[in-house]
Amino acid sequence: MSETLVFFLHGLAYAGLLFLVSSGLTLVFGMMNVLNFAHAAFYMLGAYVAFSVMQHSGSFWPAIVVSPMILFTLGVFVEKFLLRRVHARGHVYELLLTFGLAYVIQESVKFLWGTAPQAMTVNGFLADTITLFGATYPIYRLFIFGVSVAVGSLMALVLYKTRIGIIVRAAVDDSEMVEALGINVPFLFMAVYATGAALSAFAGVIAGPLLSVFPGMAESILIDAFVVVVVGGMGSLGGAVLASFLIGELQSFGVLWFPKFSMVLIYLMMALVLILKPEGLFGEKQS
Amino acid sequence: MAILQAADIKKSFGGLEVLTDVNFEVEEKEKFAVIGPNGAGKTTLFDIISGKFSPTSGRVKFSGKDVSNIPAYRRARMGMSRSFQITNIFQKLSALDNILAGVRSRAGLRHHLFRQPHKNPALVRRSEEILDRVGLLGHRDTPAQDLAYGQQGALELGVTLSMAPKLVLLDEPTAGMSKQETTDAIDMIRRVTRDIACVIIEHDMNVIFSLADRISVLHYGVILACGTPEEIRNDQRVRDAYLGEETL
Amino acid sequence: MTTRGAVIKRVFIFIALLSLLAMPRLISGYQLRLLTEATIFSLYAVSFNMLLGYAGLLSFGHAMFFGTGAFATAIALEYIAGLPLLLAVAIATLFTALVGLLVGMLLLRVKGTPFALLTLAFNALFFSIGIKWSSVTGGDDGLIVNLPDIDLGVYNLNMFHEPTVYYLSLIILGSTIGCCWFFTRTAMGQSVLLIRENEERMRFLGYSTHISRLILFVLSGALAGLAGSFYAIMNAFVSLDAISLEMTTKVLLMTFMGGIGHFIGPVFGAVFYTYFQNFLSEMTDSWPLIMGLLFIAMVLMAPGGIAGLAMSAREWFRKRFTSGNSLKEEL
Repeated sequence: MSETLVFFLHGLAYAGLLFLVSSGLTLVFGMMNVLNFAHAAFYMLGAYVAFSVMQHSGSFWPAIVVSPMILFTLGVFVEKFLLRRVHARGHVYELLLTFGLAYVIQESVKFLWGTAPQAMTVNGFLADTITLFGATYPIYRLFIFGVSVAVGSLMALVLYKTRIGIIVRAAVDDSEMVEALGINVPFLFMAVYATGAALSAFAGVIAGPLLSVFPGMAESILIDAFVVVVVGGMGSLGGAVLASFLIGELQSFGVLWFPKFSMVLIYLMMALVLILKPEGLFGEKQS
Repeated sequence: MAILQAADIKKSFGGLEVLTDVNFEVEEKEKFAVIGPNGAGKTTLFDIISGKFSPTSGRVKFSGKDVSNIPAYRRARMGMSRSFQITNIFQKLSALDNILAGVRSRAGLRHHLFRQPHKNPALVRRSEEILDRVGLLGHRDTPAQDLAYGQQGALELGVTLSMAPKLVLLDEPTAGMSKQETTDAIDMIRRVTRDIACVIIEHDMNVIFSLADRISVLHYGVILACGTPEEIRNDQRVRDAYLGEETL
Repeated sequence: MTTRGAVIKRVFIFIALLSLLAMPRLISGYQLRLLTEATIFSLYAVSFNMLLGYAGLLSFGHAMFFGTGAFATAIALEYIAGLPLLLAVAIATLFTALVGLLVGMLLLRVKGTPFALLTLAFNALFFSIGIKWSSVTGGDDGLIVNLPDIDLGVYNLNMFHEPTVYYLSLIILGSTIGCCWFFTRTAMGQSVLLIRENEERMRFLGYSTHISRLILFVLSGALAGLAGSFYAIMNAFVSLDAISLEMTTKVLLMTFMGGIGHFIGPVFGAVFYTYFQNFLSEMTDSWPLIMGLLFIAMVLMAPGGIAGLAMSAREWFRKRFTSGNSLKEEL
């Protein structure tokens, strides 16, 4: 019983992390129709920046603020000076550009921080454990889940309940019309892209203490986040929530029940969704 | 037997009903026109007949066969061909290659890994015949994008005919043309579609009344009236709804 | 009609071919290995460009076919006793084509960005199968490829003799380029190019664009498998590196940098990448960083790649040359 509970909680923590990563990806895709390959690289860079900030300040909290801010700035520059310039050439060039960017960030990180894994240790109450139904459990994993719920709710609130959200969603459907209404659409897209970068850095900071900081961390989360986006439906926030949960738990219980095939399980799920509903669980049909 | 039958066609996008219970039949060799103000659902109707969308309910029958859920490319192979309002040709290809794309498809030469369509004299000759019919044989090797606007319209028509269709759907064939170009285009359409059934969408009343045998008036997704050009000209409901401002 | 330009072109090609044939006598063993590698990667890049250049399909999972070809060759030679080498290559290529058919049937249900994303996920799936199924693939240790001689009746070709592998891969690359050139003139090749130009119209002209894409996907996968097979033979060894995301990244960079708009572009790209990487890696461990920056610069400023740059340079010279002439005439 308690073993099942522990694995369920593990699954929740991983689902939370997956949601944090895929929410930024979903935001950028949903709003700008750009699949940001550099997203996972931003996530890794965010984690490394946080690692350095923690080394200097000795605490986790400054890192969780500073790192997303730095990545937000980077996102502004990337959108303004790189992405915008290839937008007119279509999605193949946008994909190529963000892919090249991911590659460069990956290699820069190796160059600046080296290739050895770095441990990121939290202290204070986050490092403690809690006793739940007779099982001790690290608070940090529950913290991840809590943070992801908070971020998800905040995003939903902003997108569906505020004026900014209405404008952003309208710009997706008809950017010319929104532009005609006096909204600066290029600025809006820049802000959305930078927010996506900040979100991924935030996810990277959160992931650091759980998974440690290493150059392969981008690639491993990228694939899982992509699977989340495919299964949930591209650009759908609700789909990202459901798919993160499914894949987080599948990953966790997969390790428990079929240790040899745990990696292949999520791909099987993806293939199943592809066969039955190619546009994803919550996705819109391609015409 | 009617070559095309539309029975109780309904189409809605989201909650919006664009077409409501549309019914009509087109006989062999008949020229049938659909007119109506902008937003009446004409293009949607075309998309449903040609297979771009499926109807929400209702049936499309072609040569007596229900094709409602058959994809566009199979309908094209059965002998249904459509033109596009905004000329939709292969801009970088020569006029001949544009026609050849349809001619070889008609001959079943689509995915062959060894045969070269350009080296098939019968197909090239057939393409040249069609070019000749639309008056473009002199521009055989000119890239489509270098043709004049009216000539591009003629090429569009040629591509539509390249499948040797039994039924042609013409989507505003004279849109954007000058008066002279329009007159020429009408002559050409009449000439090349002599033995083919046609469904035409058009804004220009002169075009409609000089081409059509029978006309349906589509108004906010409903067929308001159907009859010969003379009947339509004299129909009070049509005058009220649509033709009011036009000088007939 | 033979103009002076065409004669010069032919002489140039003839000299290039002759020097390619003479290479094993001219350069050292290490250099020959590098050239063989460039040849095999050229084949790999040509296969990738069939998707990207001909059909506009951007795949981030091409290594799944390269790797499948490489592993299939090693496994076929290990499990089937007395299998002739070239038959093993053929088996590997056909097997990769079959894999391409299955994967293509799944992936081509979506287009554009979702397609790109799914190819990456499938590459990762293939990689994890490679790791997990270690009893067959050797897992992290890889597989040693048992290379039998090729028996020509009168003469035995030893596959550990480097010039042999070089000549074989050169022959395969040459015939592949010839086939690709022919392919663009066939009904199938023309259909693929026309679908890229105007997919909607092709559908209304009776073409099943889905079938066209699937056939192209299978052909491209089979060619990548062939390249992978030769990669295994060249190294006499296969590791997971052949099926990794790095191998996908490599072909993407090579093809794009060479130029996707020209059928010879990918060959330029593969040769450039192989030699430039070799040159850079002697100077710094961060060579991928430089390669990546160069790639981004080309995406932004030279979307036609090396082939595109070469063509605009030729155009520029021709203009200068002819305008100089007309100036003379005026004088």
